[in-house]
Amino acid sequence: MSKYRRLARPAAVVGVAALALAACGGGSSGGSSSASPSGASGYNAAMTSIVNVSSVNGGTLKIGSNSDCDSWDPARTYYANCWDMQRLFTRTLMGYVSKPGTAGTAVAPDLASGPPTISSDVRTWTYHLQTGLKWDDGTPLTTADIKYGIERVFATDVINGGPSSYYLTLLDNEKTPYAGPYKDKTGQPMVDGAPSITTPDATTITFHLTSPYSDFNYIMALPAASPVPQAKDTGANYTKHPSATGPFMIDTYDVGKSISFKRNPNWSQATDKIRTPHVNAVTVQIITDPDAEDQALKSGQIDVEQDGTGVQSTFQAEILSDPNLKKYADKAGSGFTRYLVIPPSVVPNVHCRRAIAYALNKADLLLARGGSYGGAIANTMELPSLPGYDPNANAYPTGADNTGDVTKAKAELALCGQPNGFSINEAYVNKGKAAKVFAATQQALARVGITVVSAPGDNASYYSTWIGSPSNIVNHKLGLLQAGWGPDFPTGYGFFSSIVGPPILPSGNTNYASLNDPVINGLLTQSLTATDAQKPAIFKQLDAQVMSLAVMIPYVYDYALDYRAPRLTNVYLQAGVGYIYDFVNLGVSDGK
Amino acid sequence: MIRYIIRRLLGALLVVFVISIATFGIYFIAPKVTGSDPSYLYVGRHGTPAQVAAVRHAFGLDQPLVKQYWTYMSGIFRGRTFTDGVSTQYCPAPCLGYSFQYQESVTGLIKDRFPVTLSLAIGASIMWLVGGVAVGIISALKRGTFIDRASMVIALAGVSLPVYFTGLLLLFIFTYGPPALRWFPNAGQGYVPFTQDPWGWFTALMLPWISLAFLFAALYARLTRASMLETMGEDYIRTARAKGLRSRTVVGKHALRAALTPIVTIFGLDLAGLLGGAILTEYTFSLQGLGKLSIDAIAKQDLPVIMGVVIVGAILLVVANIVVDVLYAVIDPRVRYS
Amino acid sequence: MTAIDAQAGNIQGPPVTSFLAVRDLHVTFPTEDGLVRSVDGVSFSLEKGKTLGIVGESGCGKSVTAQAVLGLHKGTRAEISGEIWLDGTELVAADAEDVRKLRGNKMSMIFQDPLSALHPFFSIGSQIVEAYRIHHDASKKQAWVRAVEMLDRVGIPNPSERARDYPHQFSGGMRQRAMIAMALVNDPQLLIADEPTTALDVTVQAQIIDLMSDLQKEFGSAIIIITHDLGVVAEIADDVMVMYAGRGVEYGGAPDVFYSPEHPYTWGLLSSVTRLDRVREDRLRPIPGTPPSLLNVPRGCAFNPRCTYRNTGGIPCQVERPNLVATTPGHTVACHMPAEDRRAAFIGDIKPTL
Repeated sequence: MSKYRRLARPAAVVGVAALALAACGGGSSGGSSSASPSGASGYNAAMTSIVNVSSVNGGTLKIGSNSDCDSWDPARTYYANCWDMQRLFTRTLMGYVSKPGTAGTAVAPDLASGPPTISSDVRTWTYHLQTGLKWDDGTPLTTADIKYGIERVFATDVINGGPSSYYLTLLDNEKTPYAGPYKDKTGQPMVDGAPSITTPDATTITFHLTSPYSDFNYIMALPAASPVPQAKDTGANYTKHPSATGPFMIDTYDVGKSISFKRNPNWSQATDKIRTPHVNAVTVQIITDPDAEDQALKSGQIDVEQDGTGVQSTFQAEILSDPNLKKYADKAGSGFTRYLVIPPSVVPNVHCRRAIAYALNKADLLLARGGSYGGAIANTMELPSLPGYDPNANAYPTGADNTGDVTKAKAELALCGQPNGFSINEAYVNKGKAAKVFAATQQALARVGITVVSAPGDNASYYSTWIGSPSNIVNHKLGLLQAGWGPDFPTGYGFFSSIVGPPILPSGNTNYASLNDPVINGLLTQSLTATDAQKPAIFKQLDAQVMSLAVMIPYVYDYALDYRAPRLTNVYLQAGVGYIYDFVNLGVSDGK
Repeated sequence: MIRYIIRRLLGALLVVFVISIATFGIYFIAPKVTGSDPSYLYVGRHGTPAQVAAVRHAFGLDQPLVKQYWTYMSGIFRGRTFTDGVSTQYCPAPCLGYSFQYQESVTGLIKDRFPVTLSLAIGASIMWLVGGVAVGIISALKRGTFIDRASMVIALAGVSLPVYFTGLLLLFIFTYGPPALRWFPNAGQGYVPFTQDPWGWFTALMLPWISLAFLFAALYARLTRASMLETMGEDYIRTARAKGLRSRTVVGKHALRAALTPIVTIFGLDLAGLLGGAILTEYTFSLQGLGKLSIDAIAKQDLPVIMGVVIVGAILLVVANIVVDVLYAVIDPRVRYS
Repeated sequence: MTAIDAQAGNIQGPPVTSFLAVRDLHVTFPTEDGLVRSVDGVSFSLEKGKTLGIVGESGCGKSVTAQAVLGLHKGTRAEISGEIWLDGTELVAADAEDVRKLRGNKMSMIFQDPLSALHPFFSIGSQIVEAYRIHHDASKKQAWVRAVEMLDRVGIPNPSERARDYPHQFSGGMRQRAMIAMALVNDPQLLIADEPTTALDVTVQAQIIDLMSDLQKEFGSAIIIITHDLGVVAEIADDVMVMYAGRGVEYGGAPDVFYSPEHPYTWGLLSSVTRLDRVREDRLRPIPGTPPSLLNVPRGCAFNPRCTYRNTGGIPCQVERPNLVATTPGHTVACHMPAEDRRAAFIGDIKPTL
């Protein structure tokens, strides 16, 4: 009798029942819908403004989440919403400014007293720490702590899971790699025969990079660059009680179950221009079922969802049909581009690839990804929030209604010598939206005689060894790869470097098309020493070049329909972490 | 009887041993089929091959299979030491390994989650046993009447509706529904320890109990009804009535005892199975029990946790089997002397 | 000789003087396939200290009759009509609770297969104790003493130890003795034995019959013994009633029924019995045909499809049901054949072959 041992989330089944209930359960949300103070709440207001500006202090922010963060150790977490949570208790040299819209993609000094001094070859970066900074236990914060925090990232056997590759590549050499402070108690990372991180005094820290890197401020804004007090570092166990430099600190943490934060008495507002906390405590409750989580949000039991992936279809239907609910909803995004990769190793002829690009039915693909509230049609690889984004660029126009240009597709097929089409295998993870995208591409390409055959990969290994292994792509003749990409930090280089340029790894490779184009590589290198004013032109050109090769065909920018509880104040979507509500700055209007 | 129990215990040990080997084997064979390596799940997005190798080494996954198995199993009896990079820690016997995901002793994790599953399983089992058996007896005695037909139809519904459906329905009405019906506001928010807040523990578990119990009660009602009907047709029931016993004695003492023996057997096994984790119920109501633990472990291919949960679950079931068999021998004297 | 109710169909007859009198008993079971007339007008009577044997094939209604006497059909869907008089009390119309008090007390029953008729989970002793305590206000200890006493009385060796054993630990014969002990623990004045020896070995059969006979002499109870085994009936019965398709077809003293039977069915039964002292023929002579389904009893005489004397001389075998009519004093037969013809047929055709 093991009827209960399956696990499949039948959102559709429950959705039907829940819809019926919702219809008879009354349409009002749990909280009061009295008029709110300034920063008017309206649909999508948090994308462009700060909603419900208020200086009311006090109370507890109740966050809900489907699961515990991958790690609370700042060096080991890689989920966007967990990086957002890190802003509660972790500060870094630089940090994302707390501004709505694309302005939120900029970084400003956080622990640093001002912007860094950068050498002319863009390889040496010197930061000065503010004075008087303290840890949550009152001990002074020094640059040695920052150095140690970055050094432990090199112990990749213990400190794993985070974006360590940036630090390993920029701050260490390949010949004598540094093994991390646990194994190598006296050594340190070296570049060109000298230590790459130097701390001449307690408030100065200098980084010597292996090569120019104009986006280094962003590398210093990732949680992995947080300071860590060596005396409190318990290696793999540090995740259970990381120290705090931010306005909050961890109060109780039940691994995998719940976490709560209280105020950090040793944080000073005067030193922090990014955070303006209002509440006294933050609780995170884990509600595993996403529909139940939505209901908890609707009924006011939680104020906001940590996951940042939007509400489920049931609640979405309720929101869209009830103006009293819709004014608290935002179409958040986008932090992700969805695209199809056509590896030249399998489809060598550029015209065959272009035929596919013209034949795609992007309107259908948008529906497959969740419709107009789940995304927007994409014609460029770059996200709208990145420098160089050109809303008019469209290398392969698919018609005014975006259903595809069959004529042009057929013309390209003739040019590539396959006028009657061909057969091609599509790689994807066989569930949910990916399966729908597969069906949509199959249908669209069939119109021009291209037969799309299913070649699904396992969920756990899809990105690591299915499409992440160039040899596997060739072995299984995977001609179409479903992929999505969101940058680790919102710069052109941060977006493009991992997906269009070297290194090409044998497994866990993210340059799925195995591109090694000299023009693209040149533009990437150029951007590493360019000024901010020069970058938009560089990336616009880069995007165009990538598109011309027809190896990556973007079709949707992911959006998510989010909902914020009516009592929340100072609400806006933080673009730097990927358009998620900025938890650290939230307040509650009733002060409870 | 003692010899019988000892023989069964030895057999049980063998079964658990075989299960542990099978689980271990599946864990390693499956990736060869799907081409994945659990280490990838722990290195983040841009894991270089060197980092992947470092993680594999840290998890001991680069050692020969037999050695890995031996290390794991001997750790159960001897305890093991682990390093977290900074220091070494000793994990005393029975040490079921260290979770890849949580960096915690699996034994500790299981001990921590077990009370949740235990509360869920025991509460639900009492509900379904009492409810299901009562309905089954009444249906059997009033066979063919409206009560009988109505309860069997409801039982059919109970058996057909999945737990997550019933659970979510209950949540939608009694936790998040119209304010007048929010009788169980703290359901779906996780477990409240009994020692911390007995009333909260009770109210948080009531809806999960009902969801789970509804399913089983339906089954037990049908089973009890069938068993009762069969028993009531037995000759010794006629003898009991011929002796002039009251109806309630005939049913309550003579019939029930015999009719319930198969129920007892199945109950023992059902309860033991649930103690290994009621996955769907725990998921629906955000209860962090063994079921949730095992599902998360499978998603993250956290081998030590998987092994630990499977072994514990197997032991529970195997012991339950023995207990149930012994119980059967206690109830039915004919079995004792065979 | 027992007083017999000569007017079998007369419900409102003269006052009953027998210890047990059954008058025109009908027991019908409504089923989805129709009405099953298990007992279709049965009448007999019995005095204390006497034994009545009821014989017939399987399905003829013997057990249903016995269970009706005990009131075991009360509260079920069976429809019962007629009268059952036990020592001056009418049972059919009586309250179920009143009949329950008599059951196992004044009248008790033993069943065919003691292994399935005794509860496997309780010891023999405790089952007898239960039978005793339900009708007497006694402590467990007192009841246990009585139980052991009864086991001893029925001839079970080591009764105080064996009382603690379970039914499956007894041999077949001992089990039946134990069942008898349980039935007699309350000194019933009427004992009904439903196929008491069918499940036993031949040698054990004899012992059980002897036991019952002894107990009857000792306690003076009336016994009804139901069986299809004529040999058993011959041993112990004073009167015999032959049943067919829910009715009595011949009823009289044992000598009459055995030596001067007048119903073709009875002839058939007697012919079917093998005897060592008979001339060996090539085959047994079974009664042709099979017993009728009680849903669909043949029209007229229920036996007519199997009767070699059917319709001889224009008798209305297929049209009219024959009633039990006296042929010699104390001997009734339900057959359309004239009495002389029957006797002639018996002496001529049947007797030589027995």
